[in-house]
Amino acid sequence: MVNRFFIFFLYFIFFISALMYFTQKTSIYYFLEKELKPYAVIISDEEILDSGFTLKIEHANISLKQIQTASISEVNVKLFAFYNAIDFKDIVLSSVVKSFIPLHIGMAKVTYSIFAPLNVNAVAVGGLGEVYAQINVLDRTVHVKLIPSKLMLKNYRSTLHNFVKNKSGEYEYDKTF
Amino acid sequence: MIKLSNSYMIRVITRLLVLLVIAKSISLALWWFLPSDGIELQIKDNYKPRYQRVDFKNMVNNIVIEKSVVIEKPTVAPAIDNMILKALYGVGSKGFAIVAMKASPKKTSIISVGEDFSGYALKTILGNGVVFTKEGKEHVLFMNMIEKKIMEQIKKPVYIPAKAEDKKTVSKKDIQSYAKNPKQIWKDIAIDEVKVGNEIKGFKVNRINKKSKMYALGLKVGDIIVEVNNVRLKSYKDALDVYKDINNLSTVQIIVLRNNTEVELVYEIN
Repeated sequence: MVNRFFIFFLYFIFFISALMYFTQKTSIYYFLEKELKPYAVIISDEEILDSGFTLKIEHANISLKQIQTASISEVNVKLFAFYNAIDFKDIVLSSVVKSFIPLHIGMAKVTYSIFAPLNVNAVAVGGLGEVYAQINVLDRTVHVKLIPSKLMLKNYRSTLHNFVKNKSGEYEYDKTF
Repeated sequence: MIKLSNSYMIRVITRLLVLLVIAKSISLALWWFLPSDGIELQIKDNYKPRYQRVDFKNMVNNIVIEKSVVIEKPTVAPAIDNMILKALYGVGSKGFAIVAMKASPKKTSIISVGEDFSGYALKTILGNGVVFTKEGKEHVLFMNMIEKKIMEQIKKPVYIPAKAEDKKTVSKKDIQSYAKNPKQIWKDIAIDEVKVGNEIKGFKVNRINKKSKMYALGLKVGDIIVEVNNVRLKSYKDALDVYKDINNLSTVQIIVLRNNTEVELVYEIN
């Protein structure tokens, strides 16, 4: 019985993998772009490369309400059903927000695993320091932990006022949506 | 002899091939329904002529001086009924009217008080019409009814231009301090978009610090900022473009909608 279940599981994995491979990821990406449009979020000028199991997006410019908000050098989307991750490299924010946070973010990663189905995790490292965020889709809460860089502590103290400093010197922020 | 079809491997391979075919079929079905192209940012350029103030007094006086030289009277003057009054500006003996012939309504002419049009001299401007004189007789031409209906439909607010003496002076330092420290802007003023359907019509002032420089400029709570330096604010980008360019401006003209009246505020930066 266990043996049969194991074989069925292997067939299932094979089927999902084949489905992931054959599915036009660029079309899914275009579909997501259309879904974002009502929120006035538009990704433009990007180069999209479907490489089997992953989707690579290069030189993307993100605009919000027609305002150039950020440019991202490279985005890697890995969707494996059980484990999904989106990697961002070299994010440069618009100069509009330069008085709030440092503009360069070296890397950011958003992950979602079926083994923790209620949580979406994110991590970012850049001029602002290290940021760890967790979104609970059931409780509809966002918990952000920031370990600020020296630059952030020196020049962006007013932004840090939005966070609560904990005993270990980290800055935390909680919000419900 | 062992039959090949009984082989365990063949059964596994067959199942895998079937799964592959199913997966491919599903992916093709998805491909059929999913979009084949993405969305690119398309920004409509807002026409941005250089802002400059025009003194209509000079315009009227200059035209009066030039009228005897430039205007040629037609030998046979058309009847006043053949003319259309498209728009007018000013009242009494100061201002001008935009008129056209019914035969060619798109070919408009701007006529100042005292100037001739097709043999008729513009004498005075009324609230919704103008008075022409010809051979000692007065002829009244009212605003084109179609134009009036359109104006009523769009409920265009009354426009009050800033007078020369209303022009206020703003220190370049104050502008630069706002440009360097945008957070101060949001401390001094809270604005929110005003939408009609999906289209942004302007930005409403919801709060203004009475001790701030913004308040000293003449902005009031409830004002809807609709235009800055000849640029209609139809998107956040339009507003941001003005903000980005603020250091290079010598004059700022703001049109606000206040009690259904478009009020012009003009500031000189020095």
